[in-house]
Parts: sequence; C-alpha cells; structure tokens
Amino acid sequence: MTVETDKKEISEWDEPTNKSGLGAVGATPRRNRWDETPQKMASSVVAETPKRRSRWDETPVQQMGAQTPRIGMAGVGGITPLGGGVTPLGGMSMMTPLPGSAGSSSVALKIEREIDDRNRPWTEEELNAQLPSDGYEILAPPAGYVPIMTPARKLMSTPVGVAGTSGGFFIPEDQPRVSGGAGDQSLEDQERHLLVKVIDRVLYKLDDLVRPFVRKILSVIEPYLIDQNYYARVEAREIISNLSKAAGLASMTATMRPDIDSPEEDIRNTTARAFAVVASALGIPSLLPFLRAVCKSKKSWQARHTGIKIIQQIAILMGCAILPHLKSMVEIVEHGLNDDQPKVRTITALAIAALAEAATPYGIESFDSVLKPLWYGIRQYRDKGLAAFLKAIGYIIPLMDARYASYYTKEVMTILVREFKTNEDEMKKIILKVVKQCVGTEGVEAQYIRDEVVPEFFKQFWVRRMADRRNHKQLVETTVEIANKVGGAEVIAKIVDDLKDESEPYRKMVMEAIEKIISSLGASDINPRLEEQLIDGVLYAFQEQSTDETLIMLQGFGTIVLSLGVRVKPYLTQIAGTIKWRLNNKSAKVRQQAADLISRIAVVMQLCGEEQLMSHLGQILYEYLGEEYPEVLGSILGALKSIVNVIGMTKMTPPIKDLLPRLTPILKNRHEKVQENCIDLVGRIADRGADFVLEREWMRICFELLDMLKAHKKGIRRATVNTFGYIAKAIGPQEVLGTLLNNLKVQDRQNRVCTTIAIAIVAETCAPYTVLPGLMNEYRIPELNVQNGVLKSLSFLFEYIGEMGKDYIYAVTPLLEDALMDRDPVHRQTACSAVKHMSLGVHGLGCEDALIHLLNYVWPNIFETSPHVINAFLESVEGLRTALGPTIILQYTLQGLFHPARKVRDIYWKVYNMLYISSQDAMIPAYPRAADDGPNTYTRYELDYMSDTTKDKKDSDKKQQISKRKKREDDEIISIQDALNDHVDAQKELYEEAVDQYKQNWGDEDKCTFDKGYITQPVYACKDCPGTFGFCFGCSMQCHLDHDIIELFKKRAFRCDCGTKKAGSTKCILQNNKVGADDNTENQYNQNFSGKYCYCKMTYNFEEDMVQCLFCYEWFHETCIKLNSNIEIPDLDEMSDFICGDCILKNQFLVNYPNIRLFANTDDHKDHTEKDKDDKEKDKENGNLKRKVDGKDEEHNNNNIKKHKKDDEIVDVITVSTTTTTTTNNNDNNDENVKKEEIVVCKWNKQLKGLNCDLFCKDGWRNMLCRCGECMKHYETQKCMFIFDKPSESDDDDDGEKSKKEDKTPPNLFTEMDTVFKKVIPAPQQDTLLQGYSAMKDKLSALFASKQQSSEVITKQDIQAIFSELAKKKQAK
Amino acid sequence: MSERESLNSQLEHLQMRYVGTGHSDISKYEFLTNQHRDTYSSYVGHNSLLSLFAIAENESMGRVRFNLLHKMIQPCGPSPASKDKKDVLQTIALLLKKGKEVIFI
Repeated sequence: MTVETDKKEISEWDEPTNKSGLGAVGATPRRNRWDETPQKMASSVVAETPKRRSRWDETPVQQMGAQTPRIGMAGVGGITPLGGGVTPLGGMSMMTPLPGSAGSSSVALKIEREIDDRNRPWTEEELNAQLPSDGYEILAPPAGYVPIMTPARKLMSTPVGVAGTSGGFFIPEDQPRVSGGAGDQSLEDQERHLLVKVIDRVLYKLDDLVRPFVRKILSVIEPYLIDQNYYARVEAREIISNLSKAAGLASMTATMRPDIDSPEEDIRNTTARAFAVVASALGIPSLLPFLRAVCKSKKSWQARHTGIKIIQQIAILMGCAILPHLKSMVEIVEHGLNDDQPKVRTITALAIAALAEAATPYGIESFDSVLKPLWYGIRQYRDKGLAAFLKAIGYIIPLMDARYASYYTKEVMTILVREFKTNEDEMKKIILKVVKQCVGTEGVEAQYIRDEVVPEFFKQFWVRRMADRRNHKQLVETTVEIANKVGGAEVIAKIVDDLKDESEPYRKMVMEAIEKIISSLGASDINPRLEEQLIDGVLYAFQEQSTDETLIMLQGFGTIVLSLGVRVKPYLTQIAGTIKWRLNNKSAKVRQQAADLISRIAVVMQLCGEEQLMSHLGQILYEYLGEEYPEVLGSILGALKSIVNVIGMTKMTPPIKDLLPRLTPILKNRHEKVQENCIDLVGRIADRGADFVLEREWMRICFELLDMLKAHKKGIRRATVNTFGYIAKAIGPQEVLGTLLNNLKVQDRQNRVCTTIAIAIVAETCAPYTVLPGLMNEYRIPELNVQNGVLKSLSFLFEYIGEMGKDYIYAVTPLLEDALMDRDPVHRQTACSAVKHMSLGVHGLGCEDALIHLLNYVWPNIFETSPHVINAFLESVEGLRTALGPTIILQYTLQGLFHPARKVRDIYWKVYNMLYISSQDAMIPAYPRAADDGPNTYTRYELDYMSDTTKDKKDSDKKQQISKRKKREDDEIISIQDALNDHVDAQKELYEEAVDQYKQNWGDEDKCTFDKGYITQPVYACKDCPGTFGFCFGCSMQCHLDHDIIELFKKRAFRCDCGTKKAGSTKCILQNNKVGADDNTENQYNQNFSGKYCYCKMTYNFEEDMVQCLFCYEWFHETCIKLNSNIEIPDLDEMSDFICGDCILKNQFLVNYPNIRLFANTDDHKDHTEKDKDDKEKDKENGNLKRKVDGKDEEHNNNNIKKHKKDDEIVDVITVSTTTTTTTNNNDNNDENVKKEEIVVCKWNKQLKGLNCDLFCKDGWRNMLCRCGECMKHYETQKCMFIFDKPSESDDDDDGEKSKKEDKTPPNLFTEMDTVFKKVIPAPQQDTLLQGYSAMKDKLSALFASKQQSSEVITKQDIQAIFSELAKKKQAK
Repeated sequence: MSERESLNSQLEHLQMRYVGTGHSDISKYEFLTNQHRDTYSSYVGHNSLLSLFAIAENESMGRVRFNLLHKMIQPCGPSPASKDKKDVLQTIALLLKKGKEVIFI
C-alpha cells in the first residue's frame, strides 16, 4: 500500500509551492472518516480488509474462530486473563474475525474495525495535513526498501492461541481429552510457565468456586504429568496440587474416579500420577480409605492395577514422608502379590519396591507380611514379573539387619547369577541394582562375593555393549560397590586392561569406574605391576581421547595421580612431556585440558620434589598468557594459580613482580572464566606476596576491581570481594575505604550494593575499628542513597564479623536508633536487617541490654505492610529471639494475640507462630497464667510445686537490704568502677546514719549530767576502763572519746557514774568532783554494761534484731525470745512494748491484763473454754468480777490461766476468750467506783505463781491497767510509776516528735566541709590533720603516677608501705 | 500485589501444618489446650522435671507419666463448642459400625 501511495504522493510533494495541497488533502475522503457513520466505514474498510487480512492471516489461529469474538470482547472490555503482558492489546485487537461469523459478533467486529482504523499508521495525506509544507525536503526511500511491519504483528498475535486454552474456561466440551487443548500447538516453556502462574492466581482467588471446572482443568493438565520435559512435569504437579487445595478432596476424587478403570492405559497412568499429587497436597491419611476401597475392587483388575499404581506413585513422589503411613500402605497392596493378573502382580512388586526405597533404612517390620509372597514369586515367575519381584527384594534387603540380610542375599544370589546372562535392558538394570544392594549389606561376606559373584559379573557385564548411556552409570556404581567389599586392587586388575580398548565410550566407562574406586578406597593396595599397567593405560586413554567430553579423563587422571602420591615420581617426566605436547596442540579444548591437568597435579609434583619441573611449567604458562581463546586462558590462569600456591611467592618463576603487571590488563577481559581466575590469582598474590608489588599498583587494581563488583556471575563477585579484603589488608584500609565510601554516592544501584559488601569485607579483614568511624560519619550526609548504603554496610559488616561485633554494638546502637525511627521505610528495613545480623553475632556474649533496647525500636514496625519491610522485621525478631530467648519476645507478643482488631491479631499471630515453631519447648515456663473458666481448668498447677508465691514482702525487703551491703573479700578482684561505687555507697550509708544520729538529741556534749540527778538519759558503758560503770553522753564525748564504748540507749533513773567510786580510778574529765558520788546506789546495773545481752549472754551482734525490756531496759534478741517462748511471737510492729521474763516475775500484776496480748495457742483454746466457764461461775460466786477503769468501757475477758502441763516450761499459755462487753456507763461516779473497786478482787494475786514469761504489750495497754488504790500502792512499791508516764518519753520515740520540735537540719557534710571542719575538729588538731592529709595526698599521687608509667597494678603492699613511711616520719617528728 | 497475597497464603499454609500454632480466630480454649499439651509433653520428655514432680506428689515416675499422658486428651476439660459435635460423632460411629466407609473431607 505504501508503495502505491508513495508514487502518488511524490508528485504532490514535488510541487514546492503547492499550498493547495493542504486543501487537496482536506478534501480527501480519508479526512471525512471521522464524520462517517460506522456503516460507511465498514464498506470502505471492507475493501481494505482483504489486503490486510492477507498479511495478518498468517497466524495459525484458524480453528479458534468461534472463540475470537469473545476474546475480542474481552480485549475491548479490558479484562484479560493474561495479565502477564505477553499478549499486548494491539495483538488482541488485531484478531480478525473470519467471515460469516455469528451475528452477535458483528457489532464487536465493527468496533474492532473502528479501533483498527484509528490505530493504523498514518497515510501520506494525513501527514501532509499535519505537518508544515515547507522548510524541509522529503527524501525518497531507497530502492527495494520494504518496511518491516508484518513479522512483529505476527509475533504479537500468536499467543492468542494460547489465550484460548488459558484457565480452561474457554475449552468447548467437544475437545478431545487426551490431546488436550494443547495437542496441536505445543506450548513453549515460557508460555506454559505463564499458564501455571495464571492458573495459580485464579485458583487462589476462586477457591471453592473452581469445583465445576475441575474436570476441564485436569483434562488439560494431566498429559503434562508424563511429558518429556522435566519442568513441564513439575508445573503440572504444581497446578494439580493447588487445584486440590482449592477444590477439596471430595470433588477431586469424584472427578477422577471414573478414570481409574478407563480402558485406555495412558489415562489410567496419568490419573494415577494425578492422584499421587493430590495425596501429597492434602495428606496421605485423607486418601487412604479411598485407596483401600479401590485396591480391593472386584469389578475390574484395571481398577486394582491403578490403585496400586497410585500407591507406587505416592511413594516415589513423597519419599520418606510416607513413613508414618507405611504400614497401612503396605497392607493395602500386599494382596496384589497373589493376584491372578500378572500385571497386577508386577505393579504390586514395583509398588513395594518404591515403598521400601522411600522408607530406607527404616520400616522393615511393615514389610514382614510381604516377604514370603515375594520369595515364592521369585522362584515361580519369569521375565517381567521376576524383574519386578527382584527389584522389590533388592530394596527390602538393605532394611534388614545383618543376619537376615545375609541369609536372604544368599538365597537370592543364585537366581541373580542365573539371570546375569539375560539380554533385556530392563532386567539388566534391575539385576545390577539388586546386586549392588545385596553386596552393600552388612552380613554378606567378601569371600562369598569373590567366589560366587565376581567372575560371572565381570564376564557378563563388562562388555562394550554396556557402555551406552543408560546402563553404564548403574554398572559403574555396582562395580564400585563390589570393590568396596572385596578390595579395590582386585577389581581394578580385572578392568585395567580395558583402558586400552578401542571403543572410546568403553574406555571412558572403565576410567570412571577406576576413578571412583580409587577416590573412595585409595591406591594403597595397588602393587607395582598393577601400578605400571594403570599409568600406562591412563596415559594411553588420555592421549587417545577425542575432544568431546574430556572431564572424565581429566578427573580420572587427577585422582589417580593424587592418590598414588610419591609413587608417581618415575612417571612424572613422561606426564609432563605429554602435557607440554598437548599445550601446543592446535585444538583449544586440548590445550584447556592440559592446563587443567596441571592445576590438578601441581600438589603431587611438589610432593615429589619436582620443583624445577614446575618452574619450567610456570614459565611456559606465563608465555601462554597471550592466549586468545578465553576458556583456555582461564584454565592457564587456574594452572598458574595452583603452581603459585604450591611453590610459594618467593620461589615462583616468573617472579611475582613480573607476573602481576602482566595480569593487570587481563582483568579487563570480558569472559567470565578469565575474570574469575584472574581475580583469584591476583587475590592470592595480594594475600601472600603483597610486598612484591608497589602500593600504587594495588590501588590501581582496586579501582579496576570496583567495576567487577557488579559482574553477573556470583563467583566473580565473590572473588572480587575477597581480593578487596586482601588488598585492603596489604596497603591499609584508609585509602581503600575512601574510594569505597565515595562510591556510595553513585547512581547505579548494583554498584552501591557491591560497595557496601566491599566495605564490610574490608572491615572484616582489617578490624572494624578502622572502618566504623569513617563509615558512621558518612551517615551524616543527608542523602538517602548514602545513608542507606551505610546501613546496608553495617548490616553486612555485622554479618561477617560475627562475634567481634560485641565490641562495637554499643557504638553503633545510636545510629541504628536513628535509622529505626526514620520516616523512610528503607532505612528501617535495612536497620532491621542490621539488627538481625548483630543479634546473631553477639548471641551469648552478654549484650542483651543493647539488644533489648534495639528491640524496642524495631518492634513498632510490626504493622508495616510493605513486604520487604515486614520481612526484614520478622527476620530481625527471629535473630533477636536467638539472642534474647523466646520469653522476652513472648512478652511483647502476648499483647496483641487477642486484640480486638483483626489486623493486629493477624500479624501478632504470625510472630507467635514463628516463635512457637522455633522454640516451643522453651516457652513452657513463660506462658501467662490463665484464669479458670467454668468447667474448664486452665491452671498448670505442677509449676507451682516449685515456685514460692507466698513470699513475705517485708522479709524480702530486709533480705534485699542486707544483700545490698556487699561485703567484699580481701582478695576479691574488682574493677575500679566497682570500687568507687562501693565507696560511694558506703559513704551514703554512713551519711544517712550520721543524719539519723544528728537528729537525735543526745544531749549536751560538753557537760556531764551528774548534777541533774537520776534522769532518763542515754547511757554508755566503757569496755576499756576498768570496772563497769555507766556514764552520760557528755562524758562519752569527752572522757571516753577514743575508748571502746557500748551504747545502751536511754535508761530511766540513771546518774552519770563517770569518776565516781563505781568507776574506780578513772577520773571524769568534765566534772572532777561529783558531790555525793560515793553512792550512786540507785543506778541499776545489768549484764548489758559489760557488753553482754539477752538470755544467751552474747556480745553485740549488729545483725540480730533486739528488743528492749520496758522495765529493766535490757536488750534481748528476738530469736532468743522465740526460742524461749516456743510459740509464735506476734508481729512486733503491732506491739508497743516488751517486758522481759524477769521483770514479769517481779511485777506479776502485768500478766493479768486484757488486751495485753500474749502468746495464744489455739489448741488449748478449746480446753480452756470449759475452764472459762467454771472460773466464771466461781468468780461470780465470789463476787464482782467486773473490773472497771475509771468509767471507761472495758472488754470483759475471762482470763483463764492454765498452767501448762509441763511446769518446767517457762512460758505459760494464756488464752484470751472474749465475751460480751459489759457496758456500764457509769462514768465519773467516783464514789460508786470507789466502792466497786474496793469490792474488786485483784485476781492475779491468787492464781499467778511462779509465772515467768515474756510479755508483749499492745498499744494502749497503759490505759488498761488497774488504777485502784491497792494497785497504785503496789505500783509505788514496785517502782513502776513510770509506766504511767506519757509515751512520749518512752523509747518508742527515737526520731519522732522531739526531733520535729527541734527542727535541726544537719549540715550537708560533703558540701560544707570547711565549716564542719572547723566546728567539729578542735583547733590544735586542725593543722596536723591538714598537714597529714597533704602529705598523704602527695605520696599517693606520686605512687599512682609511677604505677601508671610502668603500667603495673597497685597492690596492698604499696599502700601499706606509704603509710608506714608516713608514720615513721611522724614519729621522727 | 497478588504475589504478596500468595506469599502470605503459602506462609499460612506452612504454619498451619504445625500443630500448636494459632491464628486470629483461635478460641481461648484451643489456645490453652495447646499450651497444656505442650507443657505435659515437655514434662514427659524431660526426665529431671518429671522426677521433681514425682517427688512433689509422692508418686512413682511411671504413675506421673501415666497421669500426664491421660490428661493430654482433654487437659482443660470439655470444649465449650462440643455440644453439636457430639451428634456428628454419634452418627459417624453408627455408620462405621455398619461397615460403611466414611470419608473425611
């Protein structure tokens, strides 16, 4: 068309000033097409379409005629099942319908045509109309030029055919099933792959709804299960698997059931395989009942056959996953061994073989039932049947234990040997396999094999015929197995001559066998004669080989030489000659192989001491570095590498300083093998011989290597990165690092990524502290790429350095914090992966605090939806789990598991499942307690056996306090930090104590209180002064300042005894003459003054809690009271006072009082109630029992005092039973009271005799005391009037009211040192103190300085030396 | 987009296969039953733990193991949703008795 129009148009354009052309153009009919109605257009287009169609009809889509309108519709509508993009819309819309298509499609047709029209290329007239007419010249296209339009269109439209089969939705019913929708057109790989993807997505979306279409889909897909192409089979399996998950078992079985006994073999075959896929997708147990039924079918043997085949396919497909169901599967098939039909028997045997193969080495018990039938079968049957049975036996024997195995082997071997002569391939394969399995079992003896098997075996099997592709692998394996049993040399001896055989494939097979034997068994049992034969044969085979597949020869040669080791020395010259000869060969492959051989035997050459030979070879190889063929060049480089490795850098010829510059240009070579080998070699030199090369050279190489970082092949990238590391180590990391950091700003992503890896490698080889500061500093650049690059680097860095990371984790944490809080998700994602690598590296090394801190920043990313970020998050949580333990992560996870929002729950359950799968056992103790709930009990009570949940809080607090006082042992080694902390703690304690003390008003420290007479004051005793006497606070500060003083706290009615007769010779400094000092007789002394306390008479132990008796002011241990009492003591804080046993004895009235709580023993309670009543009655008889105290209400308690059965016991049990209170409201009727009180009989007189117990008094007990006249007199005589003194004067108030009145705030001793100093310390002593302090300070600082210089540890002796020096000086003064 | 979904669904499928994992709609009963079962199997598996319990309960280790295994069946009591299932179970039992095959989907 264009050609024709061209001719027309040229004439128009040739008129330079023809402006009417525009107008002319405007008048062309084409112009009007926008106004035309579709019918007109249709008519005008029809004329065109034949031409068009002729071009575009070259598509092979003819049969799909009926389909196309629908597709066209779909194309127009925009909903294409093919989302992949292979079929562009243009192609779709180019689908021309066939003439005479259905009426409904005509509209679509017209629309299509319209679109076609709109989208078709412009004609010249139209172009003329658009473009300006002058200012340019139109050139004529060259002669013979035809624009290529058709092929592209053609390409684009072919996939439409595939679209017809997509999803199976559009397959008409009448399509033949076996050939499927793809019968005539073969799907290319990509198209099929696309098909799979499409179906996958569709199935996922449809789920249940796909059930009606199962049949159709299966009919299309099943043929692919037996396709030649491996990937086709894989994809078919995937589709069926997804289909079964979507549609469910019932519909799958219902659909496929009729095919099971179909007359056609193929269909049954594919159906069996399809069923196997269904079983693997939905689980074997779901299918087993169905299979059981099928295999027992009495209808047709085909059904049984297929059923058993399904079992076979399941075993082949699923492998060892069948183990849990092995027994049931064997049970299903075992009856088939005795079936009438030979085919059924055969397939059963094959199925059993597959099951046994899958179950190896377990499961022999399940096969017990089939052994006998198999046994008989071997004897009975022939040919295929026999082959199958033999196969089954072959697979079962390795499962047996040694004894049975040997027995069975012997039995079966006779038959096997008989069958060696067979001609059938299948049989041969099976026999070889069975022989291999039998020979391999434990109980079979070598001698037996040697005698029975070996001769026939080699005779029958080691023939040229066997050297074809299918058999030779099995033969080689079996031979190797035999060699393992009887010895390598024997087998080699049998086949070594065949190395010189004429047939090359046969030679290759022999070589392969020998190579495998030697590599597994070694060459130690090869005698010299055999050795000669061997080397001879190998050389011959090597030289005679054609150039097809040279690997086997190479491999064999290498292995043999390596294992012979030093023994190969006499042959080395010959070998080297061969190599040199072949290096010159015109064929590239030969040269390559020769170079490869060098790399393999370099080590042996070194071993044999042939260094000269190697240098020579090195020189030759160096000259070949100009090689053009890249493969050969690569091999040469490899050979050089191996020689360099072996000879060493110093002795290498050519010398390294010549070699490396020769290598540098080769780095630019494009071929991958060359690149890899070159980089490797350079890296090796950098590693070992960096000194031979200038630094500048290394930097140059570095720059070149930067490009290699983005190579396609992973091996090259890895080699590059390693080499980077070596070079960095050689020339120092700073320059390299500078280059790399600059690279981070590059646009090219791959470059940047590789740079990050290189940075990490440099860090690993040159220690991270050389890299990290610069790297972290780079983060400050506000460029996204750079920051992400830094983070990525860190991630790789921590991955590589592993445990070294524990030293750097704290330094890097602030940077990661910042990144984890960043707005950009990529920052967070990369930081998460950095955290993951960090945690995996430092796990177990004590950095948990940093990791928990980072976890807190990582965790908020849990709600991210972007897959990269959420993946990074999940992985970092995994990493943190390994480092921190699942318990901590579980605490975080529990919060969201039952959250009301589903979105929250979803992701939290994902995390929980992850935790669960990886560390389920460890979470057992960490699960939270759950409350019981009706009939369900959720407590796991066993764990409570071991946990102590009834802790007393106060006890625990006290224990904590005690434990705080860390007592360090003398030779415990602590850090300076710890020492300082201890010191500060100790100072704090002391300070607090001092504050406490300060608040208490002990009295005047300058005055002795002797003149005040007998007062209540704090009393002290002195251990140092002879005699025991007590003195006042003032004396304690003056007279006994440096003595060992015992503090006895407040005492009633005490006069300072310092300087009195009691004190003996010692004088009181404060008050020299104490008037009336001769008799301080009223002072009461007790054992406390001599430092002994309590019943146990021990010296003061500050850890024991003590109570003071109210009367005698003696101190008693709590524990001793407990011991004495032998009954539970009430809570001391509830008791306000304590009275010791001795004082009770003296003051018996105390015992009788209500509300004075004593030790209550609940057992005796019951007994006493009766007595209670008795006594009550008694007392009633006697008179008024009611007691009153000044009109106040009183609880009337019947006190029953029961003497304990054992009178010896110190403590008596007094039960208190409360009865109703008597309420007499007579207040203030003194007369009456007096009268009543007079009547009152004090009970205690009668009943208390010899009572000796400790008494604890409750609050307010003083009010309960009887104030009757008699009692008061008694009190006076007993000198107990003090009881009635107000409690504010008692000992309870230590730091309470009085101190509040005083309102003294102690000076902050640490900050007001000067004032305190001058105040506290007397003037003459200030100077000495200051001098002494400065001297000490000088000495100590001198010591520290000297120790620092010599970097020694400061020892105790040093300090003591200093102080002894100072003391000497002092004495000298 | 759908790749993400399919990835997720694959992960879910994988996680579903393990007994003891949960999902957003799991009930308290089921969750705790799993915990209990895991706990008991851990006790049975760790011999030293088992001996501790045996000592605490003053039973032989075999007895403790036996008890724990028995408790595995219904560690938290009957399921709250079990009422309607009972009918289903009864019908299945009846069918099996009659010798009919029952396929579980």
